Parts: sequence; C-alpha cells; structure tokens
Amino acid sequence: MKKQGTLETDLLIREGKIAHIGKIADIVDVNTLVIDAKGKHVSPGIIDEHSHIAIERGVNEGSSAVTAEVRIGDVVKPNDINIYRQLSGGVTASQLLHGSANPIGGQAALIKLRWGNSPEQMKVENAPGFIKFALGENVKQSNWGSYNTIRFPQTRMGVEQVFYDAFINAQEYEKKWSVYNALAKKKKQEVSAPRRDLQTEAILEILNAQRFVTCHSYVQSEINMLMHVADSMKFRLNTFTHILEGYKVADKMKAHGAGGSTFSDWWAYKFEVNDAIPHNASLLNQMGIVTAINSDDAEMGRRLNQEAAKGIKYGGMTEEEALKMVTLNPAILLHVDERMGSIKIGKDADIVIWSDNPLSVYAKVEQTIIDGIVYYDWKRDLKMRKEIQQERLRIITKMIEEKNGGAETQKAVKKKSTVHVCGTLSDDGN
Amino acid sequence: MKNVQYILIILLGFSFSNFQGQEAPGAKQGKSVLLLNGTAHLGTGEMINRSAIVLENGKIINVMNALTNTINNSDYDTVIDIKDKHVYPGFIAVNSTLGLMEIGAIRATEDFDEIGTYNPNVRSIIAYNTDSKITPTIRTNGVLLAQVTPRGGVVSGSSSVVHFDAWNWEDALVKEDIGIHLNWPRFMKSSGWWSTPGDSKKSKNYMEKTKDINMFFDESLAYSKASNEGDRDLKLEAMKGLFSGDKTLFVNVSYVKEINDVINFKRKYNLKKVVIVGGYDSWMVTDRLKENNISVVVQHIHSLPNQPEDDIDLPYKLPKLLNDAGVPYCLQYFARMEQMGTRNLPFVAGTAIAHGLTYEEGVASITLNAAKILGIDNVLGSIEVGKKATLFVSDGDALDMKTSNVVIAFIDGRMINLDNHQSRNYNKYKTKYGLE
Repeated sequence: MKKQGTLETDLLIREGKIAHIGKIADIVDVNTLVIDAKGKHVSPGIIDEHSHIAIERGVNEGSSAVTAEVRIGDVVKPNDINIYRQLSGGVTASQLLHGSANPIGGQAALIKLRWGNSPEQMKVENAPGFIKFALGENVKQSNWGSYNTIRFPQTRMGVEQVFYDAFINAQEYEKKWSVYNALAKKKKQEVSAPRRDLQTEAILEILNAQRFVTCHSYVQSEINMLMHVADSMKFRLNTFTHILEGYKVADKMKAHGAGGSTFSDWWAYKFEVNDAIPHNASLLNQMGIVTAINSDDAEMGRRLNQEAAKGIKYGGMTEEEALKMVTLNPAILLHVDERMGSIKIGKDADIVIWSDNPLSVYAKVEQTIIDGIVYYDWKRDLKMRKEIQQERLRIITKMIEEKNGGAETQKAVKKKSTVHVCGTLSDDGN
Repeated sequence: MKNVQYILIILLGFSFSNFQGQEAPGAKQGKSVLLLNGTAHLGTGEMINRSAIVLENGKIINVMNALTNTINNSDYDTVIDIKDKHVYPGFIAVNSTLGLMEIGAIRATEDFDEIGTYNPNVRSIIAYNTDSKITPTIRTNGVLLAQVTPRGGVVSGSSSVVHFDAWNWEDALVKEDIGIHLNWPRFMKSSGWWSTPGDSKKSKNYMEKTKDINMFFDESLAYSKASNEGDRDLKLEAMKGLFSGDKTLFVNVSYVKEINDVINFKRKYNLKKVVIVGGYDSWMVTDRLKENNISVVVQHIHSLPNQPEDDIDLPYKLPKLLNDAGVPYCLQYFARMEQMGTRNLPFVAGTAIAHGLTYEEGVASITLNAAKILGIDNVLGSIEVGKKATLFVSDGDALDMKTSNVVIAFIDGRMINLDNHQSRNYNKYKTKYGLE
C-alpha cells in the first residue's frame, strides 16, 4: 500500500516474488497461471503480530517468572487445523508467541502459513528473534484463583524488580565472559570458564539489540515503568502488544520509539482493561506510532480485516491506514517489511484475493497466496468438502458392513483441537 | 417545526453537560417527530428506499413511502431529514448477561450464575444494573434491547427483556420473566486437560442426568395441577408458566443427539413454547424442529467450527441453513467477551449476510425474529405502525463496521444520548496531545 493506495491493474508474480505491477498486454510464457480477478480486491497478506495457533502442548512455561530460554520455535505444530482456518481469513503470517504468565516469557517464532509443510519450512527465513514479555494481572497471577499467591511477583512493584534483576544479571554475565575471553590462552587453562546460561544469554541478546521485545501490557503505569527500565538499560522496547491504555502514554511511547499492537475494541474482561477504548489504535496512529491490530485468538485471527476496519469507525482512520494495521505495520514491527507487508515489486508474493473491499464485513477470501503459491482457494475447498463427505460415507458404510458381519465394535470418540490465548493456564484470561 | 441542526445542538448539549458518570435517560416524548427520506429497513424483511416515519407519544404512528405519499412537513413538531441515511428497528441482544456482569475477572461484579442445580425462581431482572458502564457503549452501535439471562446450574432461572434507557430496572423492563433457562446435559464428554485436550467419550451419566431433569419436570407438572395451599414451593411455582404456555423454555443444547432428545422432551411434557439456544447441529434436524414448532437462537456465529473436519464456514452459514429450511431463528452474542462484545452484534448479522442471508433477512435476524422468539413482537422488533418508537438512524450501513455510524437513536420515542465514557476518554487525550 504505502502511499500508492489503490490501483486497478495487473500483477505478475514470478518465483515467489512480486515481479510487476501494471497493465500486462500479453502473457509471454504459456506456463503462467492466470487468475482473473476482475471486480475483485487484492490486498497484501494479513500478518498477525500476536497469535497462539500451531503450538504443541501449551503456551506458558509458568514454572518461573523468567523463562527466556524456552522457544516456541521448538514446538510449532504444523498440522493444527487453525493454520488452514487462518488462511481462509487471508492471514499469511503469524507471530507465534509464548503466553503471558511470566514477566519474561519465551522466545517467539514467526511463521508463514505454508500449510502442509514441516515446522522448519513454515518459519520465516532469517526472521529477527523476538521474545515475549508481560506485565500486569497475568504475571501477578491475580486472576488465577486463590492458589497462585506465592510466586514472586504478586504486584506491579515486584514486576519492575524482576526486570532489573534479570537485566543486571545479564550485564554481569557478559562481563564475566569478557573477562574470561580476554585471558591469555595459558591463563584460561588455569581457571574454569563461567557457566553457560541459555536464559541469561537470551536476555543479553535483548540488551545487545539482537533480540526484540513484544510486551503484553495494559495499564499506563506499567508501560511507563518498562520504558524506564529499558531506557536505563539502554535498549529499545520494540512492541507493546495489547497496550490498551497506550492512548494514555502515546507521547512517551513515541519518545521511546516503541510500537503498539492492540485489540480493536476489547475491554471490561478484567480490571486492567476497564479504561480501554476502541479509539486506541487510531490515536496511537495519529501520534505517529507504528500501530498494528492483532488477534490473540484463533477465531478473531480469521477476521482481522474486520478488526482493522473498526479503526475507520472508531477514530476515523482512512481505509489505507486501517488496512496497514494488519499488513504493513505488523511487518514493520516484526522487522520484515523489506520483504513482506505490502504489494511492492521485489517483495514476497503474499497476497489475498477478496470478493469485496477487504475492510467490509461482506468480503470473503477467495484465494490466499504465499510466496506465489495458492495455499487456500475457496473453490478448491468446496471440492474437498465433497470428497471428505464421500470418504466419510465410504468408511461408515464399510464399518456397518463389518459390524453386520460380526466384527468387533468400539465406542465412538470425537477429536477436539486446542485453542490457546495468551493467558491460557486455567483456560481463561488474556 | 424545528430542524435537524436544532436537534444536533440539543444532543451536543447533552454530551457536555454530562461529562461525568452515566448518560441520563432521555426526556419523555410528547410532540410528533417526522424522520424523512431515510432508507428504512423495517425488520419485517421489507425496506422503503425513501421513507417517512412518524413518532408520537413513544409510538410509531405512521410509516410511509415518501415518494408515493404527500408529506406536509408543517404537520409535525419536529422534522429530521435523514436522506442518504439508514433507519433500523433497535437491535435486540438475545441470551445476554448485560447488566449482570461488569468486569469479567472480578467475581464481585458477576450476578448471573446462582449456586444450585434447579433455580427457576431466580429472577435476572432484579439484578439488572441500569448504571453499567458497558451498556452505553452497546447502544452506540444500535443495540437497544436485551434479554437479560441467568446462566449456570441445570435450570438457571428466569429471564426478562429490558431496554437500555432507564433510571432503574423497573423503568428498563419491557417484559418480565418471559422464560426459564435449561442447560441440557452433554451426551459426549471431553477428557484431557487444558493444554492437551483428550478425545470426547460418551458420558457415563447422560441418562442419569436427563432422568433427573425429567423428574423435576414431573414434579413441576404435578404441582402446576394441584392446589398446593399451605405447601407452597417457590421453585415449582416458577415452573408453572411453562405448562400453561405463558413462559418459554430456552434450552441450551448443541448437538444432534441431544437436540432430538429435547424435541422428544417437549412432546412428552406438551410444552407450548420451546426455543433451542446454541444449536450447532440444528441444521441437521430442521424438519423435526419445524414439525414441533421449535425456534433456534443460533450460537454466536463468529466462532470456530467444533470439529476439524467441519466446513470452515459452518458457523457463519448456520443462519442461512436455518433460514432456507424455514426454521424460525435469530442471532445472539453469547461467547467469550460477550458483555462488551455485544456492540458487535450488528456485525454478526453482517457476517450472516456475507454467508447467504439477504440484507433484509440479516436485519430481521437481530430484530423481528428475535422479538418473536422473546414474545415481544406485538410491541417491538420492527418499524410498523402501533409499535414502540425504539429505532435508530445510521449514517451508513449499520451491519458493516466499515460504515456503521449511529447518529440518532430513540427508545420509546425518547431521543437517547449516544455518547459514552470511551468517546469522552478519546476526546480527553486528543486534547492533551493537541490532535484534531
């Protein structure tokens, strides 16, 4: 999108990249797949900055307040049906985040929804590393019943100290290693090397701008606090995610250089979101903060276009600004905007063909294309439904025949798939 | 005759004078108001491109086509020209807990789930909080009425219908104790835990649980026929209306096996009015539903399919499937985040339209269809002569978030203040940052 806005034109994709934007008189290569999108809308693929789909067995390592060593990338579940469901809503990339149980959670994984591929093939090549932080009620464990009252921290005061402790520890760790590394070879043989600590190394990467933070956050006091921590430790907070009270500290976020990735209109589900307003994204955007709208929810993830459109209703975004909330802006926040997030020559061909303006509730996805490959096609989906039905019928008939022939039977079981949100621990909260 | 500008000034005056606290209910309507030239979506499945709608004493007293009728503006005290705007009956949130819960995670603010198994005598209306901070943000999007509904237990209690412009629950009341809510047991039971859900297995005590419900209904039926003097039982007394047909039985049930059992249950007790709430599988048994005169409050359609092999758009197209089969149905917003999320009820209807309903069917699915299921269609649910003047005007299509912008709303003819604490907060910070 950038400043070009909307065009009525042709689009050529070659080898997974956008090769040409503008009228194409003749198709030279007979092998070219021609998609007639006349009367349709074509948009960049939707990027969800905050997702918990496609994760095997839980999103929270809730044992400790600091778990920087755990990696979502190790537990990507490529056959989660929610990947396909997101594709049907025009999502092409999702950042899979650790949950929000800990002030310093685990490392994130950015995947493209290359349905049918292995976890490694889904991960975005050379994507910058991210880590999940969290503030407020979830890390205080205040909404998790009467039993979770003994882990430090239990207050926002404690949360600040967890961060200082972790970062100062990381600085000292680095010093220990540099002292050791500076030793002469002979001297090194006389002392033992400092013990390697994967958790501290991940935190050190943050201080050295090799890993970026996306921080679950709601109220202004704690957002302000974390920016103070970061300023004093001389690093920049990349993204505040959820950030429902961002509108109260937008000037401070702007000065710090943080981006915001928020919900369109959620509030009132817990005390810390009681002052949230649906105009938040719009106000952050007006303040010049890079702003995205995320889902944190497998269901809403497939309607992120509609969530973006609410920016028009609340706070008067233009259509282009609204669409950027779920395309170019999350790409900028994730540091992949050089190759993703808009329809631009040279960028990855991650695009969606819609039946209507993608910001309208009436728009349906017709095709979702990633790296030039069609991963979702609604006509193909309709055909597959028929095939599934026929297959079901065939199996059922066979089972009945077997049963009538006297074969052994067993009780029916129903499969259920997991849906996580970032507070998933006791199955609610966010 | 006053003009639009004057009305808008009154509205602006409202928002400034009322900067703190809740919006005050509107003043009683006396004089006549003409809404002229708007595209009227009547809720009945019909629309009028250029309409003339007359409100007087809180009622709709005339609905005309402005192109084919001679309209004399001077006949009315106030004329509001709503050309290029849309006018709708107030949207209705069925199966809602608005006013019964303020902040999800804070137990002290929850008032919809009483302890105990059978609580038909528990009444939602007396706990309905007219001063909730949430409802003003809901009516801003055109949702003006709700069925305030208790949850939990096997028989949760009794629901009532309210409107969103009241000083207290008595003022809010549209219809009291309209239905009893029953949670039908599940035939299949889930296993595993939150992070690794196991397979669902046949519940061991489904039969036992349904038997228990049958016994309660046996007892209730017997009680309804007896005199009971000197031996009154409040629970059984509350059940009486189900057998006489004064009250509706709302049954929360999803799957086909259980839906079939509910249909048989209705026949067994000869219940006059039964409504299925949820009904994920209801499209599979539409003939039986019709035959037995059962309506469906379709589950929140912005939801994921229940089974991995289900059509990816199955929840989205449920309204269309019921509509085409001729089963009476309406939409609802019961789901996670339901209270504050109810402002998105219009967009749920939008989704149902994207997935098959015609536009006017979509409007009906959250207006007249809902009013019929709640038994208030004689007074609400559509823009028709004689009904209450509970309706609103939107600048654009109110079912599409891209264009929805409610500018004027009436409840019983009172023009309500569409401001809320969220828009005030927005303006406050815009001023702080010097944005405009």
